[in-house]
Amino acid sequence: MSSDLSGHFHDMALSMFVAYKALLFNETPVACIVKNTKTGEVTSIGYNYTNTSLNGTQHAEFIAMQRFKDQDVNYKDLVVYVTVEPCIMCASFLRQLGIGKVYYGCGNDRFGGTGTVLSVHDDPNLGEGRYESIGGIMRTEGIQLLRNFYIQENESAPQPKIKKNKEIETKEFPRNEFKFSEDQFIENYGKERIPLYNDGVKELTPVFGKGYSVHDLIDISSVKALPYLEQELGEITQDQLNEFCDLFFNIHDNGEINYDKPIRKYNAKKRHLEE
Amino acid sequence: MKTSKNSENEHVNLEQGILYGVLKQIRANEDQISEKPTLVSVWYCDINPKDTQKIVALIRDHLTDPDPVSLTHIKRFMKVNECIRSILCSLEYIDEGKLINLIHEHCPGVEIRSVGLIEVPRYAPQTKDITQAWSSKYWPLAWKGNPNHQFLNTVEFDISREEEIVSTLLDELEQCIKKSKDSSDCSGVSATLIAENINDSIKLKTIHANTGSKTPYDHSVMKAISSIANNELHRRKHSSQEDGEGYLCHNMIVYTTHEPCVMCCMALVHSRIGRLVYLQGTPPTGGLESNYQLGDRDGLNWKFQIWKWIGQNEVHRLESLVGKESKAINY
Repeated sequence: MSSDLSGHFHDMALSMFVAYKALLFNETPVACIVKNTKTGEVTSIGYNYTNTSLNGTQHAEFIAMQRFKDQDVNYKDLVVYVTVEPCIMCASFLRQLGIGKVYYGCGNDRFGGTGTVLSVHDDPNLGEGRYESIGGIMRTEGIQLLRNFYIQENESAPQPKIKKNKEIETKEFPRNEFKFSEDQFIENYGKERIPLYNDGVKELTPVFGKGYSVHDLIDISSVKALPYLEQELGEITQDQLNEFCDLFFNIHDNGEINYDKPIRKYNAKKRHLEE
Repeated sequence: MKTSKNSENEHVNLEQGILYGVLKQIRANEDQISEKPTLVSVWYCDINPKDTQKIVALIRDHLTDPDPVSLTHIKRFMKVNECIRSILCSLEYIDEGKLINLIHEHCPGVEIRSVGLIEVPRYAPQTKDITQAWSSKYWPLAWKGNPNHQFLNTVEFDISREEEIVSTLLDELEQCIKKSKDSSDCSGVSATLIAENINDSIKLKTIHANTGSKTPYDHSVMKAISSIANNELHRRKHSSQEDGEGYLCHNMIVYTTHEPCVMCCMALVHSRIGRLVYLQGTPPTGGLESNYQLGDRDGLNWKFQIWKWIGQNEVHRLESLVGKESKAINY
């Protein structure tokens, strides 16, 4: 009965920031961090690397776990915080490694392999390695990062194609559906949050009954402390962190999204954010 | 066994989906067929009904052959209010600016009332019922009889070349088993070859084996995909001429000794291969006949042809190297 989810939100916010750095690097903004539950240490990060590598299998989970390839590590001790539900490929990969647990932000409607399209993580027909995959922490932020990537594609096309999709500063989010059982929901998010399970509109917050904004979740020192990030995706500045936080709505105390907050969107052409 | 009237080709066994007696089609069966189609964005335009013939000619002469997405299962015209709405071509083929230029160039005087994108099913539906359901939900589709029978009757392989490539694959596997230290344990040994059809001839691009490593990092399919990517990176770095850029494993052909696991099958979907040939099934962990039929699933964004090589010479040779099918191992 873990009713204070602040730790999970902190870790997921770190992943979201890694995803933003990937976006600045012209990659799809999906990312993860890997935490060792025995030591509490973040031991790896990963981000989508398919564009740079020309390899469609280089998803965030692969980049993160490949670092352990020649190490003696007990995968059962590892928890992955990933901004988007693992795809079918990654869900199977993590199962074959014997991962401890997955937390994800938003569901993956096209390829989701841990509950949305298939349930590779706990399909009893696939042999060993079943694991729990729990979604919904920072769901809207995970979606908003992807939207910032897709509008950028449209805007860099010679002639913008679908204008209505560009208005992501006001666009509402799809319904919040949890793709795991009510028992798992209670066990992971606490009994008091159970009205959210079938609500569809409200979002999880770190402390029940209290809203949040991404600003509150991470600071410059916590993102600078992430392993591999600055070496691989460049220096992190306070301006970058502020720009990142400005991409998102905040969440009210009752779990509703504050669509009235003016947010920014990322513009690749200008290489900075525009109002 | 019933003899089908459709079997105009001697090498085609429609009932069992077998070609040349050696390639057995692996596909989703009726109850695995999804009601949810894979969608593709296509351009439509609204025109005055009197201009329909000009648009028919435009589609026939300029928008059908070069389009990478086949739209033969899509009805091209539908009446919308006072207009005729016509499906022109896929978004993958052309952007809006180029499309409008083409229309102006080839159909001068045609009044285009609007141009836009809609999503339609990318692949022909498998049954008449689904055709009707998708037609009312997305856009009118044509039902011309079982599309798989049509496919089997028209698909052609240079079967001696196919046999040659499967033998090359088995040679590689045999070499690797000989080289590996412990040749008594052959569980988990597999090999994968990726080839490409260039000007109607199949060229080998890469071949990789897994000599029994149990970790998913070392599956031969994943290694082969990585090597295609690395070769393309290298090529782009060192070649100045622009002789077309490779895109993932787009429409490549993958030959592998075993039914790939779920991870590897989805990696092949992400890599957009055109065709897969494998020899042994791998229950319980395979991602095709054993589970899910990845590669032939509506709803995912890509499909590829799946064939199981059942030619006895090659099947027996593989069995002599790694044992018979149905061991519970990850490949």
